[in-house]
Amino acid sequence: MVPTQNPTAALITVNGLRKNFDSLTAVDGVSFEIRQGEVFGLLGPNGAGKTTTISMLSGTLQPTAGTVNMAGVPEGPERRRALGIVPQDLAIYLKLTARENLEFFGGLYGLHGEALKRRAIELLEMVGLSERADSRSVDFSGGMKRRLNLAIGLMHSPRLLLLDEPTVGVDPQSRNHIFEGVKRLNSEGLTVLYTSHYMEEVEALCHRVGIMDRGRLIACDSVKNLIATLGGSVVHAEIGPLSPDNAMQEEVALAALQARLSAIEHCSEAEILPAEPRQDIAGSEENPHIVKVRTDAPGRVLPTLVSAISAAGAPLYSLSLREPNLEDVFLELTGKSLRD
Amino acid sequence: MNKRVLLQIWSIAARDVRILRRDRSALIFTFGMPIILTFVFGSMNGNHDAGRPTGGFKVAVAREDAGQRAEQALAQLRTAGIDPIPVTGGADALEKLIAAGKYSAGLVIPTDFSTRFDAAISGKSGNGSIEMPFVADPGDTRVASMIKGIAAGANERLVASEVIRQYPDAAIAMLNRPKIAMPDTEIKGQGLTPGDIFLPGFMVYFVFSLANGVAATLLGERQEGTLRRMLNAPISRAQILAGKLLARGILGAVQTLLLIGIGIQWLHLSVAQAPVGIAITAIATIFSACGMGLLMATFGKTMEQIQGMTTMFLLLLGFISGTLIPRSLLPEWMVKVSMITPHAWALNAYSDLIQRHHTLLSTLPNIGVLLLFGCVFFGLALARFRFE
Ligand SMILES: Nc1ncnc2c1ncn2[C@@H]1O[C@H](COP(=O)(O)OP(=O)(O)OP(=O)(O)O)[C@@H](O)[C@H]1O
Ligand SMILES: [Mg+2]
Repeated sequence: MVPTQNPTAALITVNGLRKNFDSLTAVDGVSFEIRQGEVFGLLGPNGAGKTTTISMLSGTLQPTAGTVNMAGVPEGPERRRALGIVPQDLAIYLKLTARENLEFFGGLYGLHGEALKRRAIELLEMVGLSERADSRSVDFSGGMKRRLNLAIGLMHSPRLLLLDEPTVGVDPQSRNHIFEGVKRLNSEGLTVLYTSHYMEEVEALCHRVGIMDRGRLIACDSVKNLIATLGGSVVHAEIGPLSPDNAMQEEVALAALQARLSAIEHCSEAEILPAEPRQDIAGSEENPHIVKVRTDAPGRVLPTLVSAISAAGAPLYSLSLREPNLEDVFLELTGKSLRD
Repeated sequence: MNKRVLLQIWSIAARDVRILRRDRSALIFTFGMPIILTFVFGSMNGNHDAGRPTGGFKVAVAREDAGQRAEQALAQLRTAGIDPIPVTGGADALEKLIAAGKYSAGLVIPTDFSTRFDAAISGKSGNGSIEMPFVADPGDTRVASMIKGIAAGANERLVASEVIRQYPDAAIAMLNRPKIAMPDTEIKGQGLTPGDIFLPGFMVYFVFSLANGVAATLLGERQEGTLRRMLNAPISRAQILAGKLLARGILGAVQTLLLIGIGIQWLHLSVAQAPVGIAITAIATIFSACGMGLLMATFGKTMEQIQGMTTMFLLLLGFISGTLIPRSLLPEWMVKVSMITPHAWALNAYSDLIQRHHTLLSTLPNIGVLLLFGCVFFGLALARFRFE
């Protein structure tokens, strides 16, 4: 479920951000804004430049070009206090306990005494580490370390939380903890930048998403709008040959079917593709086809589609309807899958 | 504001100290090794209580003469502080023993020793000579020549006592003869204890091995990402370094105190004459060691990369600086070379204060050079150290 908020005021504005490492351009002129109170997702495959972008947002990396502005917060110590950073690679002291880690970093942000202790207890509770608070983190599971990593970034109650792939390599229980924690914090008003290459997470959590590939921001909108650019759901129908014995007649029949499909209303795209050859009932080889139709109103299109196919005299072997997701958006935009 | 800056530095230092306390191998290297080595070297110099060797110099003696004079000669040697060890097999056997390094020196009392002695005293052989051949170990000439001097004195007395006995008139003249007095002028620092001898070098060497830890902890934090995490906090880079170095400084101070404590308790280390000077020297040494560690951290990317290198480097510095081998044993040119190490200046300062009982004021130049080393190390390191 996407939280239903309508944030508008920009908290962070990124303009023409660029970073070169020697000859490699890791981030290539990226511009976007993160609005007050939203969860902004940054989605992209390995090496897209997500971490580099975050490092420039947080000020740990000097941009080659471009600017990062935070509403009402000048660069420097004040900005650092406003940002909470959860790095992609664990950054905790393994020889210290969970509590000691939290209290140490809280102390660097000026918390002390009772307030420091209370805040640590609060966060241990939130990430579900209360029972292991006084164990050294070297003995923690991977997921527990990740949860501690997250909690440290929250110790000083930042205004904007920069989360760099907080759920990578994490067991489902820890993942849930982190996920629910971020949701709750956001509902309490925390603005979040959430980096991931799991599109399910981004879809479920983020109000708006920026898609990065090879250092560029190739799309930036709400999940709904991004998916809408694909023109709706995709229907796949596998059909048998139209005129098995005559290749010429088959050509003609296919052309006629194509014309019918294109005429269907609410249908943004229709094509007929060859499918894998298969054996018919008698055991001889035949050449079926796949009909692929894209629509924003599948309920209305399906009956028309089925009757068009039967009118053409083709046997219908299977029919499937698939809702598109961010994965498809990425595929559409880059021609490749998010995970390779 | 200022208080807060200091508190942040302190919280970094306190955290590092806490981590160190849980690091068993670091503790063994920092405290265990120095303590053990101090005991081993301290006790090599004889017994702890007297603080100096007893029982005299052991000298091999091949006595080929059974006569009374040989007996008297041995008695005189004993009185003079030589412990004659009888050797059988004559002069040849004795030479072999010395050549093998068993003794620093040996004496041969030839078969005709008593006969020649009596002949010489009674004037029958004119001014005939009496011989007691001396054999020195070429590998230990300094001790050998000391022994020769002592033995010569003993022989003088043997002859004198016999002359007096036989020629009482001459004896009166002898007793009334003018003397050249050689009163002992006491030089401060005489009578060094094992603690005085060994601890200055050890305190310097072991404190400088802190540098290894400084480099390791900085690179470790950079590798682990915790350095970046600290950089994200509203504190300065200088504070981070100060905090981390303070922790190692505390470690070094504890180590020095521990060595001094052991020195006082068991090795008769003399510190009472210059406690302030020793404290200042210790602080300057720690400062310079930390600076060196920081500089070493700039010569590698990962902890593993520099760990082996720095260990060897520190050992090398230990040898050429005179902290592990007394500088008096180093050749002249090496003594000069040793002055390029900060160790040597720290050692000078400690030696001045502990062994020579100089005042703090007179050893200030050494401390100054040591601090200068520290500052140069820090300057270079800060310019080179990559936080990212
Ligand atoms: N310090 C650096 N020096 C040189 N190249 C770097 C450095 N940091 C990142 N890069 C390069 O920049 C590109 C982007 O890296 P970045 O870590 O930002 O990607 P990412 O989107 O976070 O990927 P992932 O999902 O794997 O974390 C990569 O090709 C990477 O090799
Ligand atoms: Mg990354």
